Amino acid sequence: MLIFGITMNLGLLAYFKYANFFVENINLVLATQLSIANIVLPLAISFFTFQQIAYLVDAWKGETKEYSFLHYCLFVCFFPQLIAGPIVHHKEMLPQILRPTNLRPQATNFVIGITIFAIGFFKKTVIADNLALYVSPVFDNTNLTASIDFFTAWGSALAYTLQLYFDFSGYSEMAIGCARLFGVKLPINFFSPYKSTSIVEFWRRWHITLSRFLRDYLYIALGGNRHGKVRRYTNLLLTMVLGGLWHGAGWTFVIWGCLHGFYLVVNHAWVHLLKTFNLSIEKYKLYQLFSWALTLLAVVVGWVYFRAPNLEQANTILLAMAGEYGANLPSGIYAQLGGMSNWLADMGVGISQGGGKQLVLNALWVVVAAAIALKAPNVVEIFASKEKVSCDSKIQFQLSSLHWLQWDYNNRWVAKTALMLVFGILTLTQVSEFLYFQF
Amino acid sequence: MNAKQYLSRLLWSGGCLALVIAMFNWFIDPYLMFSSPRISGFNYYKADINNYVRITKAYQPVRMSMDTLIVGNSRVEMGFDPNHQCFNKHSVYNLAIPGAGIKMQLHYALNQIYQKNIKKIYIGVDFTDFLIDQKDYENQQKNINLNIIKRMKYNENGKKNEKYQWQYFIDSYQSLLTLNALNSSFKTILQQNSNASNRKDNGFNPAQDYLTVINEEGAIALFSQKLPELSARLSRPKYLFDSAGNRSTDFDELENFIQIAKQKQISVKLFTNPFHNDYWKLINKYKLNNKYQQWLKILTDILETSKHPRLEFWDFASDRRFSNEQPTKTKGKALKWFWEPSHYRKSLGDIMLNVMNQSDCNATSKQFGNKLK
Repeated sequence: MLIFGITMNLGLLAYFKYANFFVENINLVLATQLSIANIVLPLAISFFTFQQIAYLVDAWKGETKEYSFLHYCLFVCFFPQLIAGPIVHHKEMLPQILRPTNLRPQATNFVIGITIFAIGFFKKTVIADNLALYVSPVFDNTNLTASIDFFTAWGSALAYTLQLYFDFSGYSEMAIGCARLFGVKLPINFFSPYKSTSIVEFWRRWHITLSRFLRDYLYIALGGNRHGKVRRYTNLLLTMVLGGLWHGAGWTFVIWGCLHGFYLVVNHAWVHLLKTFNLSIEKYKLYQLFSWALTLLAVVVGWVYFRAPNLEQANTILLAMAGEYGANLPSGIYAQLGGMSNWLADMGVGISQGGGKQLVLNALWVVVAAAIALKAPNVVEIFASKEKVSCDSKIQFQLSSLHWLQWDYNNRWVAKTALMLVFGILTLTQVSEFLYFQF
Repeated sequence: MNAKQYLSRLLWSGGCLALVIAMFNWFIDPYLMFSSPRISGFNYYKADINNYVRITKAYQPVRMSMDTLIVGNSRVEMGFDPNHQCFNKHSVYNLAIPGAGIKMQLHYALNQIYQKNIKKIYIGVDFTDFLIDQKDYENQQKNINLNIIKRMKYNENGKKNEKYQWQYFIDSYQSLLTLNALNSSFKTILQQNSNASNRKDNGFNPAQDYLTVINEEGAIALFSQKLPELSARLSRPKYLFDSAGNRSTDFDELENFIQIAKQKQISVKLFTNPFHNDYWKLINKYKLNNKYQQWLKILTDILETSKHPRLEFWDFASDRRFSNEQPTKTKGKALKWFWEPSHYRKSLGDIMLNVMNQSDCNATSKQFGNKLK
């Protein structure tokens, strides 16, 4: 029955999400002309398939209680997190749904829910949507090689790196806030991932509920670390490749998964090396800074494949980031630089047409968004001293509970919440979409 | 503070904040939607208006009294000043829309004709606005931009547009309560200098924002930036007739417009916009000269057959006596007649207006252009 249930779930996911990809590649390899009808991907199928598989596996293990079908349906279809997560586990959801106190509206839940929602709303609509303006013109440019250079490539890649974080973590927090209005606590999905100093740490902080699912129901099911190092690394790689493919049916996602699998293997091997030779260099600030920069670079390279519409486009952007297409500053910026322009010319920085307004705004948005992503506390930290906002009991990071941005019942937080909500509302008539709705 | 007080204060402060933002945007009026007072040094220049002119010119002229319209694209918007001496006895509005095709330009004009007592219309036409691309060549269709039609109080056939009020509400809301509007308001306040982008209350674009680039990089920077764009545009296949042999529907739009003007006894002065020689070089390079002559011939035929008694057609494009100035790198030195290859300056527009109005305007005029009808 378990195999039947999993097969049915994965079969539907495979049909709706991967059938076209499969046929395209068959045609490519065998030079055939096979075609299938245009399949419309059901919204949120990737997310509820995971939740259902987890439930099936746990039911088979005898870890689930007897819930009514209606309660089970509510667990799968709970609207705040249905479309793009966080991916929830029945153990943390169903008891909350069944709790009688949650049937009555509570002012405290409203206060916390609205505040978390406002933070997510602001992150998504104000920060992520403004960063998006510098992403699409490069990533979706069909004649990219004619216009790209070092600065535009980096500007766009960094803008996407931050856009994805603010978009998805913003959405997750809107879901968490929305669920909280009903008294339901969802698990936290992001814990300041760009502060990570290693890829292993990054995956503990990024899309936490997906990492948790892949670990518990794929990596461990494949054998985890129980059969030696080679098997462990193979399992890790396989888990990440499948995780990449889960995000979308395309070779760019496979490459992204492979890259992260490779990063994780290298990271684990490095940690093993440090232990073997008893090197305790982690305590040095310079090492931490280097580790952070290297981790972020690896993540940015991965995101280029994740966002690009095809491999060729991704490779072009990465080559430009490596300086392959030269470096140019718009004539408007060059004119402002005075004596420095000669030095730049000596460095090989050329002149392109235009005033440079786009480039300057791109840089400004990246700097501001990066400062928030790297310096501001996350939602868990903001509420740490007053409230546990996540239902996940295993937050593995030290909380900076004395942070100046600690939430409390005071006028400052009323003003901040109102400001974030109103600014979010101000963007409502502007066209925007959530990036993770496509997965 | 308890939870209920927190929620109540949140509601009040959120509401007040939204109200303050709406009032602020109304007062700054970055898109000239509300005719709020212009205060020198505060909100006089509308620095962020360039991307919103289609909204401005859908609603602003409704509040103006006018008997003369200037119609066209950005060239006409920058070249034809409604304060020109020959307009002394008339109230004139420059309704030219940047980046608009001939259909949209004429629809904006018709929208005013159905609302006001318009006596005279100046229409600047461009050869390139009538060319159709490969897609239209294969299957030419009436290309109607629904969003624009919704903004017009009257449809092209003179019937009231039922969606107008709703669209007006949406546009007003977006000019008061969006982040874009707030951003534009701050930009407006911060860029109060004579070189900022702007539109006057009569619709004229003084184009002083070009001076920022000219002062920093010389006029040549504008030419270097514009010519590759024009070249890319003209290099793509362009046609006057589709594969079935039908002429571009833009001619039909103009023909219909002239008939309506004739019925309403509106004088029409149609003219071709002058180009800089560098623009002409591109037209030669892409072998569009024959098409240009063909275009001129079709236009003349349309005007002849319209039998409009008060219709004139002036050709300024073919006369290149003002088109030879060369841009330099010298900072702050603009050309006398052109901003860049495709946009002529008010100085040349003034001459064109003098020439076209010689009979009823005392201004002495330099020789320019030819009257074809």
